[in-house]
Amino acid sequence: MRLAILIACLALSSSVGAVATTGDNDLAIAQSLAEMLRDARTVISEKQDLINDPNLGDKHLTGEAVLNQAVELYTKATGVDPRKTDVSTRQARLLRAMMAAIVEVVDDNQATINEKGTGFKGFIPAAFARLVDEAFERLAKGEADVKVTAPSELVRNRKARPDTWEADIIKTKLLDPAWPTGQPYSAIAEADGRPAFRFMVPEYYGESCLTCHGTPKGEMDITGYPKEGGKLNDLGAVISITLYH
Amino acid sequence: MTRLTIRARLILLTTAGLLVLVVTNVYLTRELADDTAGIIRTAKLLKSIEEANNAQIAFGEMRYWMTDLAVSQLTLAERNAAAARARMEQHLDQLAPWNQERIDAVRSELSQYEELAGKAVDEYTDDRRIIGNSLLAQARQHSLVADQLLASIVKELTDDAIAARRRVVAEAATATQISEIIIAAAILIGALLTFLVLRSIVLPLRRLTVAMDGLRAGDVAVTIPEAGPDEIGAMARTLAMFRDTLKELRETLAQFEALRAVGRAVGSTLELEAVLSIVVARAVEFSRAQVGMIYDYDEATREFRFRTSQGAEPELIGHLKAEPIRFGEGPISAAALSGSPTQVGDLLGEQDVALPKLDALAQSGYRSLIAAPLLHEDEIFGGLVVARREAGEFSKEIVGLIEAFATQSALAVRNAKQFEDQRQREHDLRIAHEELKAAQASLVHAEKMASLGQLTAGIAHEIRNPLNFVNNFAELSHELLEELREAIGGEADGIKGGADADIDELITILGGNMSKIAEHGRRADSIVTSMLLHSRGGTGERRRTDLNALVDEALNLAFHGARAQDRSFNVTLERDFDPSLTPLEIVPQDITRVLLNLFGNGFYAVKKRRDEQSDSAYQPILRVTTLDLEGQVEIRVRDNGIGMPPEIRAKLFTPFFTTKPTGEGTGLGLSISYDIVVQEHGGTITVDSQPREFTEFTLRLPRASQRAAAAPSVRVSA
Repeated sequence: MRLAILIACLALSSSVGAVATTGDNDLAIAQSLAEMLRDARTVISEKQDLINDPNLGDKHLTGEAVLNQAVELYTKATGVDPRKTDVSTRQARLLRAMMAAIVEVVDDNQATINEKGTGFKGFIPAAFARLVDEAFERLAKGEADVKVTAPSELVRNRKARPDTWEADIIKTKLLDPAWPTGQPYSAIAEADGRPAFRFMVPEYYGESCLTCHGTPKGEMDITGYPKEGGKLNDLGAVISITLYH
Repeated sequence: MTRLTIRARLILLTTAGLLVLVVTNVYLTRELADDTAGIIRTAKLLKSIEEANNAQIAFGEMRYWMTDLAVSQLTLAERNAAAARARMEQHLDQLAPWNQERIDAVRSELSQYEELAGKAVDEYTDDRRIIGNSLLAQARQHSLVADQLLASIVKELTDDAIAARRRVVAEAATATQISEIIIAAAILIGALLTFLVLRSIVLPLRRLTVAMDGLRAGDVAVTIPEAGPDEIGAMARTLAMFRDTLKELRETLAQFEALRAVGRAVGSTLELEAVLSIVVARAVEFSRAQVGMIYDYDEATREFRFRTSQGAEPELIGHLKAEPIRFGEGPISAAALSGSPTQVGDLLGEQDVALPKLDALAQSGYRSLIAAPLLHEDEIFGGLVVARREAGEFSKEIVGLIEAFATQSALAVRNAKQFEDQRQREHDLRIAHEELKAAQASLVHAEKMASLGQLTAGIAHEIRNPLNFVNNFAELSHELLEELREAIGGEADGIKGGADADIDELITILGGNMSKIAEHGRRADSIVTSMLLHSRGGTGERRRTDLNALVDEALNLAFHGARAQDRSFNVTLERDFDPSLTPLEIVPQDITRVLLNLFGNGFYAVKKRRDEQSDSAYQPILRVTTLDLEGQVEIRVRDNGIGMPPEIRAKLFTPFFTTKPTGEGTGLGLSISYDIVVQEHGGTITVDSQPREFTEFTLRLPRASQRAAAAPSVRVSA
């Protein structure tokens, strides 16, 4: 529940203002992928109580159900229904891959979600987002990657570790006190040796985030992981989207 | 020990203690250092063990987190694995000095494990699980080898540590034993030294205390401990000086007291022997000599004669008495001539003055002497000599003291001589006075007796003539009456008829009267005869007489005479005659007369007491005792009558003194008896009496005939 709040707090403070270092299409694709990921993550966050209810078996929280609520949120945020986009476009194709990944992950974890008798199940927004990223990577077939990373000291799962470029941008840009809060960073850069459009969306700790990531530093949170000692509005995560050219 | 000062002793004791302490500490410090080194070695080994164990633990943690990382992919596990790796490196760094080669081997295995495990994790991260498993299996081989290496290191280190600890324990035990022995020895030596030091201090101090107590109690003869070179020795020297001073003071005081005592004796008593004894005793005492003598000087013979001594042996006294010193010889004469004491330091060396006296002294073991003259106003009274068994000169003080004693002795002798002269004169005067008084009394008595005798003889002569007429005419008248009775009897028939009976009665009465006249005439004649006898003295003849029979006869005669006068008179007569009494020469009729007087007086006394005393329990007793006293015969006449007071006893033998009523006594009985016993028989007559108790006359008659001297021998007992 609190993790849901935590993840929800990692809202994209602004979807505009990205440094326009490439074409508007790449930026739009990256923004839409990020938005969809965050919306689905928000749904999972909001459903934590349901998911962690040990007394309830089938929660009817299927992939489709989650996607519908995510789409609803996405539509509300962007004014665009992702299901109705032109499938011939790269944006639509990648967005559909994202949605398919969301459905796949939720459906693949139905046994976990519906397990009766277990309270906290670890199907938290972060894990959900990572699984979605992995599924998206597979479904996108090398066309794009989505990763929720963070400053190295805040990364909990090594799969979310920033690569060298990401780590550098986080350090030099997003963590720069002069960097406008919430402003994404985008650039054309190599990824895995390929030219790509890279888009970095900073996410900041909200009040609810600090339940698991705040103080006292080192104290165990509900997942058994030591708190990072973060403070309100500290940079907590970065959605990194790579669009390979 | 006592040769050292107390400070040196204490320093020695402290130094010895410190030395033992230092040696012990050095030894213990060295042993402790060795033990510490061993402990440090052991500690290092334990630290190495700990490091090895910690390395093992860190390696285990590392493996755990690497495994966790492979599964969870959490960066936390990665960080923890890295941290464990780092700790392990630190522990291995700590262990490296112990055995670099072994640690390098561990590190090699560790690196290989880490590399393979890291690759395995990466493969798991990239979801290449099969490759990951393969790599992890390879890594596990290195993990086992590293584990074995670390375990062997731990075991080796543990063995080393145990051995090191055992060595340390053994060394510590040995050091403990040795230190205990050292401490015990140090305590023993320290106790011994302390005891010796304390003893060397306490014992002399105790002796000093005893000496001081003795001095405080006035004992100047107390032994002062020998003065050593230490502080106590200084105290002992001071105390000895104090004792000597005290001794001198006391001696001076004693000398003064002695002189005062001698002076007081000289002044208070004229008993020369006592004074001279005191003088010579004090002289010997204060001169610390063994013997002292005082000699008198006889001006007539010009000799010094032994008078008295103190401490001299009887044999020496005999010598000294037997050999007077002629004036001009010996130390006494020298002293008398010089007027001051002369001393002989060594009698054996003074051959020039070796007189018999000195020989006697020397033979008795005396070696030195002082002789001081008894001089007063240039008159020599004698000499004082003190001698001792030690040779050597006497001190000036002693010489002065002896001179003072001699002066006192001279005074005493002079005083005594003056007193003796005075006393002799007084004695002579008193004797002369007594003799004069006795002579006077005798003269008066004799004169009185003479005049009384003359008077009595005159009176008796004057009375006797008329009395002869009375007696003769009474006898003649009686005869005439007889003739008249015969004449009347011839013509009795003619007269009987008328007044014959009356005539006869008248003749009878007249005859009775004549008898009375004749009787009293005879009595008067007897008195006169007695008076004449008294005035003339005894004239009877002496003859050997059985005194017991004489006494018995006189007693019977007296008793019957008394009974004749008074029929009611009765008395118990007790006779205690000495059967061994042999006859002695006396004038029996005179002694009878004496006895009759004494018995008559006794009967009178008991009769008077019986008359005066209403107590019927009174039993008149007259006891007569004779006793042979070898050369004397004693006759005691004791009655339990009225007794007599002393004033009467004093006059008892005075002529005409009587306590009887007029007509019952002449007052001449005892006076005559006295003359008979004392003057005629040379005996004694004494009387003892207690009023209302008894009166006892004691006569003693000598067997040898001797006329009494003129002096009376009357003794009146109280």
